[in-house]
Amino acid sequence: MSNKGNMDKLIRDKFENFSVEPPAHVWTNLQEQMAQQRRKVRMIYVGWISAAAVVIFAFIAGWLLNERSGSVSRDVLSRQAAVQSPQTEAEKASEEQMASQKEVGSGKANTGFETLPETHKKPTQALWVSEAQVVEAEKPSGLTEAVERISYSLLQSIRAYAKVDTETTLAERSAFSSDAETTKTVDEITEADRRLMAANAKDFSKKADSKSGWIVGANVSPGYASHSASHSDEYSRNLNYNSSDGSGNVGGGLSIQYKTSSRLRVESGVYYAKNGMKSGSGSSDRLYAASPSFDFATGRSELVTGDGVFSNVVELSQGEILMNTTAGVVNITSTPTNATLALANTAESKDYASVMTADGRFAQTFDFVEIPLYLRYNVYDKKIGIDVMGGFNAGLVVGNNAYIESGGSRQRIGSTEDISTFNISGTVGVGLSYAISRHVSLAVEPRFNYYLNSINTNPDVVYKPYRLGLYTGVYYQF
Amino acid sequence: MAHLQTTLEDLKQIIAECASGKMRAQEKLYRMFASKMFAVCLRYSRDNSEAEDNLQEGFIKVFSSIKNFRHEGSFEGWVRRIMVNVSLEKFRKQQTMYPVEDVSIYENQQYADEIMDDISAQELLGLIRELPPRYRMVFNLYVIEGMSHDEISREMKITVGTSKSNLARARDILKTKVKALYGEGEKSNNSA
Repeated sequence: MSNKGNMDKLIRDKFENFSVEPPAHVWTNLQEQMAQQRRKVRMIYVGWISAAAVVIFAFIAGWLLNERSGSVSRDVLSRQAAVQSPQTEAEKASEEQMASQKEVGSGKANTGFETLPETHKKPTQALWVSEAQVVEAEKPSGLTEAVERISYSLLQSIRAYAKVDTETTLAERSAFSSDAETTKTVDEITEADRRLMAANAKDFSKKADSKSGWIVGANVSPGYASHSASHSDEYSRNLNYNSSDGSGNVGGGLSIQYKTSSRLRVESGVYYAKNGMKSGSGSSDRLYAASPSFDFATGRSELVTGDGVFSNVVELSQGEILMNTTAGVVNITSTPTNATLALANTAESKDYASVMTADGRFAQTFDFVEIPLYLRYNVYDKKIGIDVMGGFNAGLVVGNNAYIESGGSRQRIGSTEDISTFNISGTVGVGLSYAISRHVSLAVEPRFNYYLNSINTNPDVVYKPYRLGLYTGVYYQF
Repeated sequence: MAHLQTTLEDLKQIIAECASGKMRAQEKLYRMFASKMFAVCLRYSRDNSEAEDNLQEGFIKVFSSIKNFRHEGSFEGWVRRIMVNVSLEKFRKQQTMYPVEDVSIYENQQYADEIMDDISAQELLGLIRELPPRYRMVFNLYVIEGMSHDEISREMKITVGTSKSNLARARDILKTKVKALYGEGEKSNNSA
């Protein structure tokens, strides 16, 4: 026993300070493996952070929209509370009639242009405000539902992503362990072979990395832009032409995408889009719809029935000319050439309203710069690829113009008031791509973009632009 | 002693920096221990390629779990244990792949332990690596790592009896081979 112990000690002592310098490529491979692990961890972090950002963005959007609808309700309620004094039905009816007659001359609803004393107006407001409250109360709940639906679908896609990522990691692990097992059987390998193997391993890891990476692209998007709009009753009384027409236009932009896995991409970029409306040139869709309640006392009343004439009720106040339009109150800072201001009266009451008449058509445009945050999921990935995408945009209004167009010339007359600079829209789309080479591909993608909030902050106007665009572009994958 | 203290402090610093993921510290640590640990890995493996793989995998584990090192024992011992564990894991995975070798020719070939005096560590390493995998594993764990047969049986999922007989056979094989290298040693009857 002691001899065995002696032998063991002899051997142990021999190995006590025994060392062998490992080949240099071990450290190189070790570094590469650690870098790969760090990249993988970073990739998972980026994926989750992006997903979290989209969810936070969705919640902020929902919160902002809810807050806005809440403030409208409070406003309406406070105004309702101010008219609690008891009145008979007859008093109410007579006061309503008086107020409605005065309101005809008011260009800007609920914004202080009414000339009657507050005590006379309030009962009238209570009536239309109650109706407005019903309209306003219904709209935000529909909106909240939409935001909730979008948030839910986002969560679903995040779950799908997490599953894909886990499966990928597991597959990679099993591939790694089986590799390790097979290399065990290799007996003696020369130094040259080892270097070759190390180089191959590097190449392989680079190929594996191609799952994640950056894609940049540029595209143009011919499309159709229109809007959904609703107005409070009082505002509508002074709005003779409510446009529901859309228009064709061209947008476009730059896209940058990060592939977090072979299927999922997070996308941002910068896009330009246009929205707006025009009064028609035909007699049926002039801005001024020849309401039977108006009768022009003076001026170019003969033009009212003609083609290519713009004519509408305006409010003259403190040097400003204000006019209700579909998207909001337009402040006319530069009167159209050859414009005529005239008085018109209503057939019933003989009250007067100012009417501006001019040759040409009225046009209103909004230019948007949109910063998107989209999630894009690759459904089919061959030479031809299919993507589904969805997300949100921060829509910044960078252009806000009103024009009179006549005989090929265009005159800027002013801008729409109360337009919010920062807005949020949602986008969904389905993309079809064709890979020209390993790096370059072409894509055609119909997308639907809808503003989740009214871009006009006036509580009497709800104006939400939407756009259906065919985004056609070229993409480069690094 | 003062020098040793400084070195220990330096090591502590390097360990702390490795724990926070600093690559320069990781390289320093690798340079400090790689050659010693490569010798350990070589003892447990049949060829250099396998030893290099184990060294690489072992250091990955060292770097990923260094934040859990509590400075309660020797750091070198901790690193060494990780290297041994990597070799053990590989052995467990591949156990079924090893053919059972006929080693009966080495039975009853008993020589004095002093026969080991002349052989160098390098030569002894070569002989150990030629042992059948299971014998090599048991021999390393028992003789060099100082593990008991109970521990070995648990780690290698073999019986205590197998561990004992494998060790005895490993010793016999080694002594026979040493004898072949350095000539006839003194016969001994009590070394079984």
